Amino acid sequence: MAIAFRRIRKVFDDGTVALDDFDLGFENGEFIVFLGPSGSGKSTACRILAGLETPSKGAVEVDGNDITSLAPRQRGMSMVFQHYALYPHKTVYENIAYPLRVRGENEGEIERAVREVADMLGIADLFRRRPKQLSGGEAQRVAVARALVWKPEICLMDEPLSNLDALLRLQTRAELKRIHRELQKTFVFVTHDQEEAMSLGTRIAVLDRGRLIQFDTPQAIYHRPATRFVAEFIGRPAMNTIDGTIEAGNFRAGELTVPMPDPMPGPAVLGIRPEQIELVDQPGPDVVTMTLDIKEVVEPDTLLTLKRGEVSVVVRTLRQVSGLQTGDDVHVRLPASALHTFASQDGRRLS
Amino acid sequence: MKKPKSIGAALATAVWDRGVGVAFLVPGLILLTVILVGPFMTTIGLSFTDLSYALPDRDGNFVGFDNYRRLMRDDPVFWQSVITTLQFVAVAVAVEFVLGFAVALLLSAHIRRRRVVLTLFLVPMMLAPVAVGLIWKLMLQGDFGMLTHYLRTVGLLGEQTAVFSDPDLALAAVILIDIWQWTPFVTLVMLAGLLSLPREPYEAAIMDGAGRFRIFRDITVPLLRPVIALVLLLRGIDAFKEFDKIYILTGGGPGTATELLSVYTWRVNFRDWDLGYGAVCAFMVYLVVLILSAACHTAMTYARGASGNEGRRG
Amino acid sequence: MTRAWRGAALAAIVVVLVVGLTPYLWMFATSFKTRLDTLSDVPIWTFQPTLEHYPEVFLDKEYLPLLWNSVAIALGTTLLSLFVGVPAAYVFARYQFRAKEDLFFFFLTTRMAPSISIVVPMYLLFNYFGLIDTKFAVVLAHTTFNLSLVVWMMRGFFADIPVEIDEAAQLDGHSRAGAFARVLLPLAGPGIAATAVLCFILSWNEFLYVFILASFESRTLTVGIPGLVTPHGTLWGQVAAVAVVATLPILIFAALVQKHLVRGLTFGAVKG
Repeated sequence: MAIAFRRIRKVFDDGTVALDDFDLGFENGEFIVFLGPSGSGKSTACRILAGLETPSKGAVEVDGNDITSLAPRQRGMSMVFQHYALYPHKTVYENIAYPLRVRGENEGEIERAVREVADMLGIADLFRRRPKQLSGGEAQRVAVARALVWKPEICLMDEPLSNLDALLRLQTRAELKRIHRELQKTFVFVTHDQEEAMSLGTRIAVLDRGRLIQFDTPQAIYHRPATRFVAEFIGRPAMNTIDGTIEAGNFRAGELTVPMPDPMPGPAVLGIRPEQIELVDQPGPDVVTMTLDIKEVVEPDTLLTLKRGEVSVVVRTLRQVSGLQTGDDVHVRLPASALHTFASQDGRRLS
Repeated sequence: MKKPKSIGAALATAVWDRGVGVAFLVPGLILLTVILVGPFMTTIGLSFTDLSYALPDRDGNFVGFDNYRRLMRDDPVFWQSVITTLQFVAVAVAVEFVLGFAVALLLSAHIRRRRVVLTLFLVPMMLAPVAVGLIWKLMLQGDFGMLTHYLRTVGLLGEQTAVFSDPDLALAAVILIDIWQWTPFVTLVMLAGLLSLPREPYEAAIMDGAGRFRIFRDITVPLLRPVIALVLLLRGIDAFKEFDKIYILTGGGPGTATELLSVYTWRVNFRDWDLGYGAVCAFMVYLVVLILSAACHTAMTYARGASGNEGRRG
Repeated sequence: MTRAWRGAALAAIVVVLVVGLTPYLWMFATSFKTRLDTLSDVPIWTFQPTLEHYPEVFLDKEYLPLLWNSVAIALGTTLLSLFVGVPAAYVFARYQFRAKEDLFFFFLTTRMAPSISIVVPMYLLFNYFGLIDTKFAVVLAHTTFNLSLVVWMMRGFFADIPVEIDEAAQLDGHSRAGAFARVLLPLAGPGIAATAVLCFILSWNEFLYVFILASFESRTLTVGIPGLVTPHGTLWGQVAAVAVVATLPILIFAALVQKHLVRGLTFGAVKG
């Protein structure tokens, strides 16, 4: 089963353009992540797929059939909501059983399915509680159970982890991965957290201001970001981006000069990830010397903010640098293989 | 996923999903149109006729603006009742507000069993206005009224006077009775407003060294402004429409001393049976209420915003 | 708060309560007083209670049907208002559409509409359809204000339920209408009950519409009481007995829904 967004445009009543020319397709069994900052349209895309919003233009297709006008219940999809949306007046068991009841399953089948999904999520002992008596993590699991109990082909998750604390978020993340592997269903997961996206997605759709910027595997997105925006959004600390110009085989920004093997003269943006900058002991031909401005120790890493004139870069290193003081000279190498270049104007990838 | 069940599914969606908004709203609109907008339009229509059930040859001929002209030029009684109404509304609402707010402040300061006290306190406003009128008629009876007796004992009322036979006393009495009945309303709403106020501004003001009165003036009153406006308008509208109590207590008398607009309108329509002219009076009452309602709607929007109601996704 | 302050505040509250309750209690006591005790020159506070007025007025003077009319009319308008108003409130709470606030304002004005201004044409209308002095006419008249009360109050209750609940119900297999009927209505149950009680009270206490539209067969208790007041020789014991029956249930109801009273009386603008 293939799902496709066909040139979707969504304008809200107040005039905000939530999605514009949104075109995307993926196959069954994938774990697709919609990633973007708030206001990027990622939730809207998910809700349009669910049928909770109607696109202003364009169509949603499943296996080539236009499902744009179908109601949510006719689409065979389920959803986990950000605030879980458990029915406060029903017990946990009844919450999970509800989609089956609405679809008219018989009591025995309901019982069996609820047990199965509850065992998978480890919540069978919560059956008789009410949503109010659940912790955040428990409520979250119940919500997932309710979404999976009737084995929908597609399960949508709209920022389901954003209300959990950090540790629980990590655990649930691992668990979702396991469940996805076991069930072999399509998951569509919305998040603003790039780390979540990178660890969960088989493919990630990065959105910004209503447009699809890049749709690719996590590796490709990390190593070959399509735009400056993607480059800066993926990876923590964010990729260093330096505005400058390329001339005569060199990239120049203020006092900084970096050799560029692939010369295309004109203004450009140079990008390099903090973890790919190498600290070296001696100055050399391809080594830049900079001044240490700020040092933050985030065990086991150390983050160094280095300056040279107007240019400032962040370096993440595992090396012991306890001897370094603010104002010291630091020698760094910017490996050619780790360099990215983007157009100054629209941020498009150049290399 | 099952195959999309094209036509059946589309029809079901049209009725049970997309149709819901309209189908849920229209019956209410139709009902209100029939039982309210219709009569209102009829009132306006009637106001241009000379319809009367009491006078001969006046069976609804079109008379243009004659009734309006009569209202503006030749009806001192109407204008007298406008003045009486304004007195009634202004004094009653002002006193109710001050008293009610004061009691709300008292109650908001950690009184134990607040719910019980409030419930008892609300008794007057939950009574049918007719019952209120009768209760006070009984209390203020000229010869055996309980309150009449005590007022005479302490010398506030002459031996030969009865409250409702003296024009000035009668107006004062109906105002006082309205205050008795509706002060709890002010208390109830203001108390809810007070209890919904955020704590932080108070803590900030205390840290800034503000005293009790300054905090009241600089924090409480400004934060409650929308609620205050709402209370005043709601009470104003209700007082302006006041009919039941007056009808029971004085019938507008003695003379026309307590004849509020609504009572006058009633008299023109149902005592004089002058329906054409009565429609003009009725229309005037409605007009004032409409204007006050518009102000009220604005105040409500602010009050809702102030108490953080209605969280919704955009 | 200091001790002295606390004492003063308490004293003030006691005074307010005494002033507020005495008139009603006096009426209550009067319903159990003999005629002689009521007409005494000096107010009588302790007396031998009598139950004679209640059977006199309700049985001999046949006021019992009025009680039934009150109940029937109040129940009728409550059901009609809820049936039409609750779905409308849902639309106001959940849908965004142009003219929504204008429509909402329209509902507000209907709640405010002075009955004196529309009772004449309403009389003409019902007269035309031969509905004068029927309970149905009064039910419709009372719906003019109760319908908007329902819409205003229930909008707030629905707005308190997260939109995600509707959406979850739709993904669980309900249509929009199904999600409303099967999930939202049960959730809004307490709010609906409170709204219903308020509707009931407002209708029960209403005077002018009943007075004009149904002054004989279908009149209610509120309209029945003044009928006992005559220029000469009012039987105050009977008046008080009817008044007690006409008010006591309402006071109990009001105490039950006190929590939601503020919302009802301010059209949802202030939460209790």
